[in-house]
Amino acid sequence: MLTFLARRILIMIPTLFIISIVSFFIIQLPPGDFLTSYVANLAQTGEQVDEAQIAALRARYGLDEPFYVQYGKWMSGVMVGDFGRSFAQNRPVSELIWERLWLTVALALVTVVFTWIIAVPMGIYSATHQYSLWDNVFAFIGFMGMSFPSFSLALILLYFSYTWFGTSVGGLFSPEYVDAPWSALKVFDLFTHIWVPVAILAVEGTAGLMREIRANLLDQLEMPYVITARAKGLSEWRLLLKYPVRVAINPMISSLGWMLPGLVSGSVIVSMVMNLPTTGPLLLTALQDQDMYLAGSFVFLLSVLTVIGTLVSDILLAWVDPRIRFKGQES
Amino acid sequence: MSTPSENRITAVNSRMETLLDIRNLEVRFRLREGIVRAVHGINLRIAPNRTIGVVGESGCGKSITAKAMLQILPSRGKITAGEMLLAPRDGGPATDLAKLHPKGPEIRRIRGGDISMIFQEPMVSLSPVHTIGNQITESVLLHRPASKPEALDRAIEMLRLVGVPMPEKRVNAYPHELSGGLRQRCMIAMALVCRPRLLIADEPTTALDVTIQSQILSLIRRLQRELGMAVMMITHDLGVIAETSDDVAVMYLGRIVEQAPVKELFRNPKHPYTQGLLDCIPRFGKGRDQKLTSIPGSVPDPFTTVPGCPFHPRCAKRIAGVCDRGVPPLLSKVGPEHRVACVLYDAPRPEAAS
Ligand SMILES: Nc1ncnc2c1ncn2[C@@H]1O[C@H](COP(=O)(O)OP(=O)(O)O)[C@@H](O)[C@H]1O
Ligand SMILES: [Mg+2]
Repeated sequence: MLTFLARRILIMIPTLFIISIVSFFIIQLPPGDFLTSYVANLAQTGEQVDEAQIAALRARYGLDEPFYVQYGKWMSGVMVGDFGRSFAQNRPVSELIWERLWLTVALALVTVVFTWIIAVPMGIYSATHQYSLWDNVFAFIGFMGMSFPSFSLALILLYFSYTWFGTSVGGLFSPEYVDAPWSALKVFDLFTHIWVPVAILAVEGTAGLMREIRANLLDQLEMPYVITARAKGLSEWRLLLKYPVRVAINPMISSLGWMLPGLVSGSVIVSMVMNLPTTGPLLLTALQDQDMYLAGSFVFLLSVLTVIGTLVSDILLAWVDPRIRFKGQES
Repeated sequence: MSTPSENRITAVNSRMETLLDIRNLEVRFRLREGIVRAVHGINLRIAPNRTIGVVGESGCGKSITAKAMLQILPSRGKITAGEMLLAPRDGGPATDLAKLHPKGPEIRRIRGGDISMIFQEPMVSLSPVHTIGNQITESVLLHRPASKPEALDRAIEMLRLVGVPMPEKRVNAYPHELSGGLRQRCMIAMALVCRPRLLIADEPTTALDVTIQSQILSLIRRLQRELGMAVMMITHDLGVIAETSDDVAVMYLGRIVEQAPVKELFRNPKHPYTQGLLDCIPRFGKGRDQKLTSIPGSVPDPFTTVPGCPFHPRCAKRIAGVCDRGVPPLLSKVGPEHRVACVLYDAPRPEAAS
């Protein structure tokens, strides 16, 4: 198990390295660079261009140097947490990103947990009561959930909460906490607000996961090892949870890691609609503004999250499935 | 020489002592395509310390009979008639297994405690994600007042008894780390760890290769003697029956068509189906993969009900106008211990009819 872990973590290093190159390449893609468009902007509005400052910035980011030198400079900054500067907002990227990043991760994690808590029991019930009334009801809800875009669900919810209760369910904080520094009360406030976006974001995943668990479990329910366990005298509930559910859920644990980045990118539109202070809206504006250090850093950090998520799900999978652990040891 | 009175007692014992008395058991599957009568009113008495072999082509209802005994039928299958009387461990009235609720606590005490079962495919009959030790100790903890370490000790002891080398190490192994033969030994250890009174072995060697087959069969036979339990050996292979059984029941389409002690059956098979099965046993010099299917025709599809004797469409000795009318009952026509369900043996014994 330890060698397995060590190997997986070692593999992460070149992966992250390649991702950082790709991210940086994306930064460089648009013609020209930020400073040329920055200077052009300033000139257009008739402002004085401080040639010395521009030159200093050019040197700082090595904008006239070849790709690999620029990459080296950016990367050595990234190593110490300096992701460069957002030109549009004229603030360090790191300052803009961190809070939003953590809120995004928190939103995604809570959504995943919520999805599982709802989907797993529904899937188990559907599989063990195949073709029953509730199985059909869940199937109907599931297909609705999968086919209904979550941003329109968000819009509908906003509309009704506003017209019926006169309150807005947008945002992640009450107005008085939006700009307040972090405190226990602010965390509590976050938890009272996070449920609405979580519920909206969880609908689609819940529907899919429920159908998947149902299908996997149906494959397992009459497997010989389940009959063996029943023949031992185990009660149906303990039997169900210990054997077929366990085996049916295994493959889904590996998808946990991919669920995180999927949720992060999938939540962009919902976040726009609901005005959530997550990374999605900021990334979108950064891309529109060609604010490329900001955008590139986002892409890089989200990729890092994906890699970490994949690592976590690999570890989980190896932990729950001895067959995988065994293979890892063999090779 | 034994005295007449001793003789009488052993005779009474072998006649009277019954562990499980199956009477007129019927199992049906209610499917969208129709009703399948998988088990069609069978009678079977299982005696302690004896091995009863149940043999027949695939699909004739052997596994379903066994699963009905433990109430672990597939979800569409139901016991629709009959009784299965299990003698109590110490006095008291017999329990009718057919009346117990399939999910209730009574039948769960009996499963693994009084009656255990091992299955055809050791590859898939053990959970892939739990250790051998976990799966065996679970049985102990379910049926015995033991702590976890005690249960583990019992598991190790049991693995040693069934000939698993290095049992202290193997309890921590997962099924995929073991060979097919070892897995079947682990299955046997799991089934026997609570000392059941009856072991149902459903084709325990069909999925194993030949050399391992005979090892497993002699292991089951040895354990039967050592632990003093009854064994129901289910197989489609008369060779397995010859190697293990004391008595044999031959099944066809959900019915028992012939029943006799093993020697009697091999020496003097009466039912044309039994004769057909025996003709198909591969002999030395012939190919081993010659199968039972050399009886002409094949098992009809389960939704059609054959009128009259179920075997008559395939039977070379069928009597038109007789065999397609009534189902012949299973009766002692050739000897007290030898019963056969075939009209061929009715005619020459007019005294039996009176
Ligand atoms: N899960 C099931 N659903 C419907 N019918 C079944 C099922 N299992 C068995 N049967 C029916 O019961 C008959 C007997 O099956 P089985 O006892 O498994 O045969 P075998 O003698 O090979 O063990 C089969 O021919 C089939 O028609
Ligand atoms: Mg079978």
